[in-house]
Amino acid sequence: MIYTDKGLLITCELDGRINMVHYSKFESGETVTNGKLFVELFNQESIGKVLDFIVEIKKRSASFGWELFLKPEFSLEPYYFGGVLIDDSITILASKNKVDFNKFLSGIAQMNNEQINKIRALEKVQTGPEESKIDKSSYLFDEISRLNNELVNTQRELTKKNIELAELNTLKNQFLGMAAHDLRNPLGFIYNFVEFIEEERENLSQEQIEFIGQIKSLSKFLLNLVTDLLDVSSIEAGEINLILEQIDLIYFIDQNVKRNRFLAQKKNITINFTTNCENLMMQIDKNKIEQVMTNLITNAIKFSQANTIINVGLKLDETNVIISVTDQGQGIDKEELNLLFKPFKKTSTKSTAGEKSTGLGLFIVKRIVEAHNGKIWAESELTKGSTFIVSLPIHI
Amino acid sequence: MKSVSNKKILIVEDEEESQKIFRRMLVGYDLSFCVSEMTLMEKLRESEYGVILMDIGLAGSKDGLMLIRELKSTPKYSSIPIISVTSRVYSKQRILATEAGAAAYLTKPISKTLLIETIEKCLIQ
Repeated sequence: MIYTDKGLLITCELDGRINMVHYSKFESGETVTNGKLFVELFNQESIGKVLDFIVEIKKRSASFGWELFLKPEFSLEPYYFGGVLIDDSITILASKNKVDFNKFLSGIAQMNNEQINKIRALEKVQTGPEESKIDKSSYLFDEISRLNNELVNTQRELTKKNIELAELNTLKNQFLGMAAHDLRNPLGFIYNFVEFIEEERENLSQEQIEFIGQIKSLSKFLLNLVTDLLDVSSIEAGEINLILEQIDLIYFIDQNVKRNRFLAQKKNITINFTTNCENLMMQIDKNKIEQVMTNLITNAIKFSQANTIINVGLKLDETNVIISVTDQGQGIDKEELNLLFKPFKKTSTKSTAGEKSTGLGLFIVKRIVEAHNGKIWAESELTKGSTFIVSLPIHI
Repeated sequence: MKSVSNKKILIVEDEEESQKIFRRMLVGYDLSFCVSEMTLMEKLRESEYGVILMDIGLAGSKDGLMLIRELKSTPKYSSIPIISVTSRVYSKQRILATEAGAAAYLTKPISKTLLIETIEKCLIQ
């Protein structure tokens, strides 16, 4: 079947230049040719409407039902226009009237190309300017309902996945807790028994004392690792319960610094504690704050060279007590500062005497400080040392 | 002066390794061991104790926490200080042990210095 009715089917570039004429037949016998601008086919007075037509196609991917007057050399009567945006070109269809437009569409169906199919699909949901308000809103309504259904389904799917993930996370924490607990107990025994052998050092050879020392420090490391894992699993399970006691924070930190001096001596590191407060009674969990202070000070020792100084400071502002631990160590790369408080993350800064790290200490410390409604952060510059600052509200 | 009998320490602990560790650390103290509720009551009837070391994680029908509560609610034994010992590091355990009436809380692995310090504190009271 060959289509013989009047009409036009062309493809334009986005700038409106006609690059392909698929079908062109008018009363006058005049035809459209490649290379012209689409607007050049129209009378001066129609151009505003033609431009609206093009804009509408570009904006909404398709538009139909436009009555436009072509130049008299083609026809003296109006034609009905429709157009669709496919990839980077606009395909435009015109016929004598609306009924013909559909007839024309089916008539040229023999061309049966992808563009025509797309035009037909879009023609069902698109309308021209006179019906656009109603049809636009019903089209939008359909489209929004469809998207809404899609969203609801996605949300349902996500909720399901979230529940599954939460269950898996609980299982992981339970497993971690059990495994760590079962590891910790025997490790503790090994540590205690090694200590007993060490007490008999006068009966041991130099080499045996050295080996015992190795076993002791390795089992201590494993014990710390497992304890950290247990801490993390209990923190993740929301079991960070503070046992608050009224204590003198100044005396408490002073004692902690004294205990850590023993460790610092091995690297000939001096630890100073300076404060302008004489005493400061506060409600804290003393075991947990002990863990915080010991972690910060041992970290400072770990990452400092021998013969350096660590300054522990305590001062008050109106509502907070600010505790700082400053070392003269290697410093931390600015880009790695945010890794410090994340679990299992280690920065590229290395300990100076091969001391081991679990990568969990600061994560636990942060959670403890937060449980006291406090904040912790680090300031550092490479080669110039680091400062870790803990700010705790005086009244929790 | 406390009488010698008051210096007796009763250790409720079912793990053999732990028993060995306590024995070694507490050389010089008069120690008595038991492993469950049954033997605990027997030991308590036999003698007087200055302090009880109670393992929280006892296997069997009653764990250490339950035994502490029971002893603390028995007038005859309620004045004996109890040191709870556990391999659990959760602070929840500490809270529970303190609530049950334990005078002190120690975590395994036991530090000898801390153990003796804690025992001495309890014995003085």
